Amino acid sequence: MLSKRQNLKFIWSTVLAVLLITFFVSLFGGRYVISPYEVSGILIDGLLGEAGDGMAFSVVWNLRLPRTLLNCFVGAGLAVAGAAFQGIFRNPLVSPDVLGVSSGAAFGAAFGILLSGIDHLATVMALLFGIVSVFMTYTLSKLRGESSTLSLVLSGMIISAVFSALISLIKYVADPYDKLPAITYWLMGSFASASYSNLQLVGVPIFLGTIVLLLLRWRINILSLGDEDAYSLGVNPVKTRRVIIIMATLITASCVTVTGVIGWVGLVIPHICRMLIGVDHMNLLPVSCVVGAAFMIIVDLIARTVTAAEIPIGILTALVGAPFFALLFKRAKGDWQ
Amino acid sequence: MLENRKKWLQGAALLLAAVFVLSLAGCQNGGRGKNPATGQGTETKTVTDLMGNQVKIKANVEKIAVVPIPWATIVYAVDGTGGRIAGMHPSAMKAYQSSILKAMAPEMANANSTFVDNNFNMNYEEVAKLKPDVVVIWDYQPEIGKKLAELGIPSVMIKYGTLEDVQKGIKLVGEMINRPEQANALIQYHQDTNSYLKSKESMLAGKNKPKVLYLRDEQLQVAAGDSVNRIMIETAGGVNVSNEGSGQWMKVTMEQVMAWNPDVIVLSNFSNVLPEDLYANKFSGQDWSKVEAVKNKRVYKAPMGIYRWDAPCVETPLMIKWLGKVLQPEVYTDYDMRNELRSFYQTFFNYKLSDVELDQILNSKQNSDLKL
Amino acid sequence: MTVEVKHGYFGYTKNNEILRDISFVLGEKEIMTILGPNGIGKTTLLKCMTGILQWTRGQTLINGTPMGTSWEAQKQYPVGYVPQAHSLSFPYTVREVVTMGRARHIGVCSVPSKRDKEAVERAMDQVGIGAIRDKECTQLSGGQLQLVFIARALAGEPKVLVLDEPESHLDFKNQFMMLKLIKTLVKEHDISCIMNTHYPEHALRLSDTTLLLGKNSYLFGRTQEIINEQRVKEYFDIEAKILSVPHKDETIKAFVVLGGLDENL
Repeated sequence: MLSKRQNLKFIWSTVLAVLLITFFVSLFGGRYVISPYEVSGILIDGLLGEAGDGMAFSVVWNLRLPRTLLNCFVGAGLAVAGAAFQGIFRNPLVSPDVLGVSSGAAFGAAFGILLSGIDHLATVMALLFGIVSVFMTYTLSKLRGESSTLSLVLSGMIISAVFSALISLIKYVADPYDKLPAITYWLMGSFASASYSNLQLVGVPIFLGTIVLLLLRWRINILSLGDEDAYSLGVNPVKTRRVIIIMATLITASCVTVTGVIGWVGLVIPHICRMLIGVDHMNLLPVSCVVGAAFMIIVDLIARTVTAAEIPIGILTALVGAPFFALLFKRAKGDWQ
Repeated sequence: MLENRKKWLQGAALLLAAVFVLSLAGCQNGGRGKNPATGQGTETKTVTDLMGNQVKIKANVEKIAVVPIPWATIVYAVDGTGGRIAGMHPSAMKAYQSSILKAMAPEMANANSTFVDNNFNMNYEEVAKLKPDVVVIWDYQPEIGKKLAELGIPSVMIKYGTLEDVQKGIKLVGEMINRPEQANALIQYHQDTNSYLKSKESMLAGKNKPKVLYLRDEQLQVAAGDSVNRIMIETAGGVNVSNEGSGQWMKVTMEQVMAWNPDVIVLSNFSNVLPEDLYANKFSGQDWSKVEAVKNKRVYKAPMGIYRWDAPCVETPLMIKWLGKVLQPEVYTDYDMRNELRSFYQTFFNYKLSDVELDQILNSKQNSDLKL
Repeated sequence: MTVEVKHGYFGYTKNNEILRDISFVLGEKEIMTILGPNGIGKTTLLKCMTGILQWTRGQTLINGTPMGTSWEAQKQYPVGYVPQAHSLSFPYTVREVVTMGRARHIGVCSVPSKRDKEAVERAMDQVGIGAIRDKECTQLSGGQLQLVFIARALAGEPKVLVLDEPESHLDFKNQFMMLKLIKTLVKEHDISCIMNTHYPEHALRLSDTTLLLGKNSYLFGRTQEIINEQRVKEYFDIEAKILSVPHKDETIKAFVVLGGLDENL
């Protein structure tokens, strides 16, 4: 039996190694066949600043690298946002879109596509409506005169339902030949639009949000006890919780904005990590980041390489996530109230 | 308590009244602009639809409602006018608004496009009000056919997807509207073009066939193995790169496109993507700069006549001829695209195309390199 | 450190005050018990006193100055509140839960330091739960969990320990152990203590002062003077007799409820 400290070290080195390996596998694998030797050469050339102009160079540096990096950002972001939300809402069944941010952003994007196709308008609208939906959720929960987590979650469900209905409405009125396929694909999620420019666009908010959540990671333990216990321990939970909600929302909205709706990651990854490293958010949040990133790389690698057609990633994460979740559900039944 | 209930009742009553008034307004709106039912012809005839069903319809069909999107133009082509088209799909209406057909057949603008929704669900009340003599529906909609029969409206089912389906469809429409000669002439044109294209097979055999990517939209949906576009490309003397997938269209990755490295890219009219978008590398997450077709500026926007040439339609022979000029110009020297179009429109639609209209159909501004 | 409540009023809704004009003083190294029937507001009183709930009127003074809610104030005059043992949303280990007691000493963006960890170990040893430190709280018995909550409060190095019915869900022996623990903590660690209890016996045995909380009035004073048969009748509406049982060199007071079980109440 390993001591607790050794155990922690072992888990950390394992997950980091897995992330590193998947990262490089992702750079080496794809529909455009390049030998590993050649990829290594291209990577070294690029690092030395010798921009090759061959197609293989472009594939590695302009397609695979930004896409893999975006996998990391989105995977880590969704997982850490999920872990934080589950902590502060004291409910392991909560996902990062619990306050309606995904459906809001999805509606914004669908509306943007309906108006002018896939372009910057859709991106801006997605971000805008993602934030608007959370704002609406917050306001609605305040209408009850209190801001308990229960009323927040219920308000989130209401707002989500409204936006889901609006998405259906848009799909209903969208032209089945030119707009509907675009909206449908977008709603199923994809990393196809990964580029350095949108890495910058969403990388900054995701990075910022993740850093803040990681800084607050131990505080989430206190919040997970409930407000009364938090007060009794000398902590005012209201402000901290607000910061966490804002950051997790920022992360989720940014992710949805570039990749569409990718479910299950924020729900399942924190659970896997709890089994790995325990429930203490001090360890849970950073490990969730790493495991989320690795998971997303693997799933996207499958999505883009298995067939000539790209498999929508939302379908894959659900297909992998749901059965896994069922398994967890069965094993951990005692602990969930 | 009582006060509350009273208020509630008042509110409910108001709401009901509002709904009632609105629905009345809706009825009036829908009813406007339609002639009262003319004297009912009792004579009937029987046609066989593409699913082999015997359908009894009026001998003299005057009003047709068309559900399948490209079919409104088939009816127009056989009839030479859009006068009989009482209803068409909202998407077909949208395509009509942006195509040359709007100038050629202004009468079609009045057609009803609310009797069927974007998901091909029928609004039966609207159909009943429209009172078409026959409704054209998809082969997979027998339930709708049954319901229409209950309303006393006959329906014919069509199949769609291949070039043969289009010819059979033309024949069926000819029978329905008593214009078999026109239908036969159109079919004859299709067949003549086919035999002409066949005659080039031997010449093409020795040629270097360019790799073609038929791109539907900016999300990288491409024409897959079962698509009509593959047939068009192969007939004209090219190789469709994306034959691995089944179905009509599939979404692929940029990396896959680069692995295929097509020599020519054809952009569909299902989206607004233009050659310059690819030249400028406009789309996030895509790098077109290394692709052969982009490097050599061989990206073209497909033409759009009375309908999108990307789908099987009455103008499909012209599409293949256009592709021939794009892919194998030294093989297809026997015709001039503009003359071909002029005479087709003159013969079948009795419409004289101006040079501006020809440029519009051929997307000449986008495809200036073709010099067609 | 002294704690004083001055003219405290509180009600969950506007027109329904359940606490009215409460005043009392807790001296250094004193133990105070709050006695009263169910639902009278004992827990509410503790929560108001510790700042978990805000007095509608009145205030809590610590060493003569009003208790601040700010982080600095919390750190300067730590009050350790021990709620009734309740289940947790996540299966934290004992050590993790006790560490949370350090919250007031750990910055918002920090994690527990070495000093914090030492305090945690100390607190666990004080209440004697060192052996189960790596167990998950979901696997503990009610008594063990109560001890974990006490250790959590102690980890914050409080000067005042506030306990909400700490012995209520415990068996005979464990109730006694709990009282002993509280006595030891007060004696050895220089802290004072306020607790709610349902047992007048425990109050008599343990506390220096007692607050008897009734529906419209309350009584505060030295325990030995406050708790007598007449007051119990008055506040609990029940006949009882207090008996003295000599044991070694002290006299233990026992509490016997009179009246037959068949009688109508």
